[in-house]
Amino acid sequence: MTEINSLLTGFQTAFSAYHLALMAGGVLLGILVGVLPGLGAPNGVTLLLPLTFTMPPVAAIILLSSMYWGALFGGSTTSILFNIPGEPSSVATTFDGHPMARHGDAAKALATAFLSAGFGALVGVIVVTLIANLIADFALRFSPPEFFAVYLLTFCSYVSMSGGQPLKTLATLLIGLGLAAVGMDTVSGEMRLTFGAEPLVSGISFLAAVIGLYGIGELLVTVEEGLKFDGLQARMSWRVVWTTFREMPRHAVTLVRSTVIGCWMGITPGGPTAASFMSYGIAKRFSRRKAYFGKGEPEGVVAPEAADHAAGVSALLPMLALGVPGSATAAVMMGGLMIWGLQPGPMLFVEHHDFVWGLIASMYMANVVAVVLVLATIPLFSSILRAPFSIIGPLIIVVCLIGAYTISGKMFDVYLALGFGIVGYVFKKLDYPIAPLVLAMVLGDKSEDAFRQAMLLSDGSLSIFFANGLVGTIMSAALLLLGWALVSKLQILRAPKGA
Amino acid sequence: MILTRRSMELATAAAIAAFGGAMVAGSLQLSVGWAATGPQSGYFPFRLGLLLCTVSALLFVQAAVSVRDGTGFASREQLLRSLSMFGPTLLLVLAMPWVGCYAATAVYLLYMARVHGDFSWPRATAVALTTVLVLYLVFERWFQVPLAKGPIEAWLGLSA
Repeated sequence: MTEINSLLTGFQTAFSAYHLALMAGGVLLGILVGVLPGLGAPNGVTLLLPLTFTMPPVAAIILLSSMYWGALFGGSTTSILFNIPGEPSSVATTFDGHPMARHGDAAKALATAFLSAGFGALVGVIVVTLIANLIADFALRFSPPEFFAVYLLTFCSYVSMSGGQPLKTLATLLIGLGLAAVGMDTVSGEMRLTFGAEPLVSGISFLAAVIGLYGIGELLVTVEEGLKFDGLQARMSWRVVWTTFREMPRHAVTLVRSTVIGCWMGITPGGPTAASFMSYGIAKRFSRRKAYFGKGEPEGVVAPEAADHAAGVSALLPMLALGVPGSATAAVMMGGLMIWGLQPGPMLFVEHHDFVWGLIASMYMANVVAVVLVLATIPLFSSILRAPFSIIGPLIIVVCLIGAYTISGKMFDVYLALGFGIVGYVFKKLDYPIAPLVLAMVLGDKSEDAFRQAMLLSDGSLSIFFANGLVGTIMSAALLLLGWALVSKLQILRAPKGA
Repeated sequence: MILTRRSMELATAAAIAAFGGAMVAGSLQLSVGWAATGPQSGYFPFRLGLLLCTVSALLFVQAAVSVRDGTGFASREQLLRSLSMFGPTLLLVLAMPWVGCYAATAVYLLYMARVHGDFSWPRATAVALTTVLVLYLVFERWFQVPLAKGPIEAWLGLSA
């Protein structure tokens, strides 16, 4: 029962008026960035990160993670009311959420989404609580070859699970790894890929990349589509919330199944987006009300929402215990951890017990705070979108650019953010996935270090990656995933010719 | 359509190849082989760069073979809309180091609200000044994170 004890000490750490205020503030900011187009969870957390450098790490992580939960809720709100997903992971919520709202059930659709999301998140936290120590203890047996194998597995599973075109995923991964290599080499201290340019010496900040790729790029796409917000009104009443709550047991099977999918996809790095699509697909496949899907079926809201939030929450576990983030936002938070001077990985559980369990305890509280706040404030936030986009858009741009400046007080990061904005615009339009690039930028140095240390151990023999059962299994799984993704792609290429 | 999807796919693959090529070239300035201390500093980026060049070549071929010319990337109208946002933003970024972030932001917001938002002068000014004031209070006062300053801040004695 060490988990219970750890959790109790965690609550002692996390439960204070200051932390509760941070949770509420984080959740509200999160809902705001979730609702606004062009700002999502990865970007919002990135913009807030430089402001946390002076905070104690526990307070900082509570603020950032609360923002993450808020953004997940905000993203589903715009899906339902405006048919515009605020987050990639809430795309599947538009399929049935928006039709429900059009039929006049906006409040019920929102309540269904928030309650399923809350359920998914709570189960996600419980899963994290129960298996966190287990995974950390397991990972304590890891040495450099195992760590490299785990990183490789992460990269390969992105290539195979991200849907879309595996070659494009592979390309963005490699670009991310290349960008991570810029600057001082962590082993020899030599300058790499700087071509003599002074600003490149300290490397390319992944925060500037996230701001550009997710924020500015997304906004350029939005402007191009000449976006008009034809939103539907939502008046939340606690009576609707209560009746929806009483109806939830009807969707018990979908709820549990979607949560399991979500937890699985969050812990293995499939991420919330893949989880919500998969869960929606499976719910549709097995539902008795299959014919109603896409026309405003509540089950079609329950499935993606529960999975999305379960995945979002459980994505923090591999980030803490293995140093492998399960989603783009988790990758940004992991970058934050390293900036605060904490090394993610199994030793974090030993050396910074209070930090880890304070965070886990705060996840229980913050998700409850988030459900209550989002239900209470959603009419207010959706009214923001009724302000003209020609003023909201430029305001978001200003916030992004200033956010880039605050990373280290250099104009260079602002130029980078703008440059990455163009890249993000093109990538988004050509279906190049962005999350792998961010993940690779955060993990780049760590995976290279692990590889080089492993090579030192083995005197340059690659056989060290198959030297024992553990590392061999992880390596084989990684290579199988990669091979499978590329082979199945080749079959798709061949198919149209045969048809 | 002034930009076809096919041409953009090809151009992007070529740009990625150029990035891969830069990685290879940059690594070749270092040692890319082995030493007693294991793989040297150019080892990893060199091989990643080669791999990226290969992947981009495959992407290029894939686009050339399978993407038909019919689908568009962006119409003239769409490009103009993106540029109407991107152009002023570029100017904002270029102006920031010279006039400071507050003045540049105020002018940028004033312009966007007047030209694209059809705001009246008083409303546009109010939006711009309120934003700048909020930025000042949040960043300089509350979080004590200094933003880029210019001559106006110096004249007001705020640039310390």
